[in-house]
Amino acid sequence: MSEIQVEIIQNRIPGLVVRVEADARSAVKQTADDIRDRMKDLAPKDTGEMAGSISSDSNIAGKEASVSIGVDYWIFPNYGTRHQVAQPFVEPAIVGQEAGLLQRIISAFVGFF
Amino acid sequence: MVVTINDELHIAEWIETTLTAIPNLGAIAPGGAWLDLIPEEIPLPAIRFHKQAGHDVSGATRQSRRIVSQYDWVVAGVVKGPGLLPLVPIADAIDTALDGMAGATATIAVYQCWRIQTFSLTETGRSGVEFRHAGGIYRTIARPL
Repeated sequence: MSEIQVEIIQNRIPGLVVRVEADARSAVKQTADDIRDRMKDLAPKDTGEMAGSISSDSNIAGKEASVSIGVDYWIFPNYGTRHQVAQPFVEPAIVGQEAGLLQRIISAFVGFF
Repeated sequence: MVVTINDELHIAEWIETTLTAIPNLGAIAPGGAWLDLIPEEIPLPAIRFHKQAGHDVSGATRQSRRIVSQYDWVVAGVVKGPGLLPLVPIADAIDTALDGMAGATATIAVYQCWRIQTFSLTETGRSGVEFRHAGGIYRTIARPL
C-alpha cells in the first residue's frame, strides 16, 4: 500500500480568513452606502425632509449594516395611497445590490491569491 | 427575431385582464381593477396595482439581448373606512387569481406569477382610519411572444 506524506510549508489559510473577513465588512458597508445613496436619489422630494433623513450604519463588528429612513410617512409615497400614485424608491434602490455585494466579496477572495 | 416591446405595460395588461376576470369581482370590488391609481370618481371597494421594482434579465455573454423581465407588483384592494371585513374577500380573490399562475396575452407570455409577501397599508386622518389597503406583492417573470 502506498503512503503519502504531506508537509505544510506555508499555511496561508489564517491570513485568508482575516483578509476575507475584513473585505467582507468593507463590502457590506459599501453596499449599504450605495443603497442609501440610490434611495436618496430616487426618493420623491418636496421639502427634502424624507430624502435627507435616509442614512446608513454598520454594526455587529461590521458584519451587518442597515439603511434607515428617519420619517414614518415614507410608506405613502413608496407604496401609494387612495389619492396618490406610488413613487417607489426603497425597493428600486435595493434591486441589483445583492449581486454587487457578492461580487465584492468574491473579488476580495480572488484578490488574495 | 428579437421582439422588443415595453414588457412592463404588457404585463400590466395581463394583470388587469386577470383581475377583471375574477368571478365575483362585481360583488366584492365593484370599482374594478386599476393600474397606478383608482380614479376619484370610482366608488370603493376597488383594486389598484402598480410596478414596485424590477429589472431586465439580459444574456451573460450578450448584454444587449434581453432574455426575460422580472418585476414586482403591489396589488391591493382598497376600502373606505376602518372596517377590515370587506377587504378579506378582495385580498383572497387577488391571491387566488395571481399566486402560482401563468398566462399570456397576444404579445407577452407570463411564465410565472407568485406572491413574495403580503401587503397592507392603513391611511389615517383626523377622523381615524380613512382607507385600508390589503393584498400582496407579486413577482412576474415574462417574455415577449
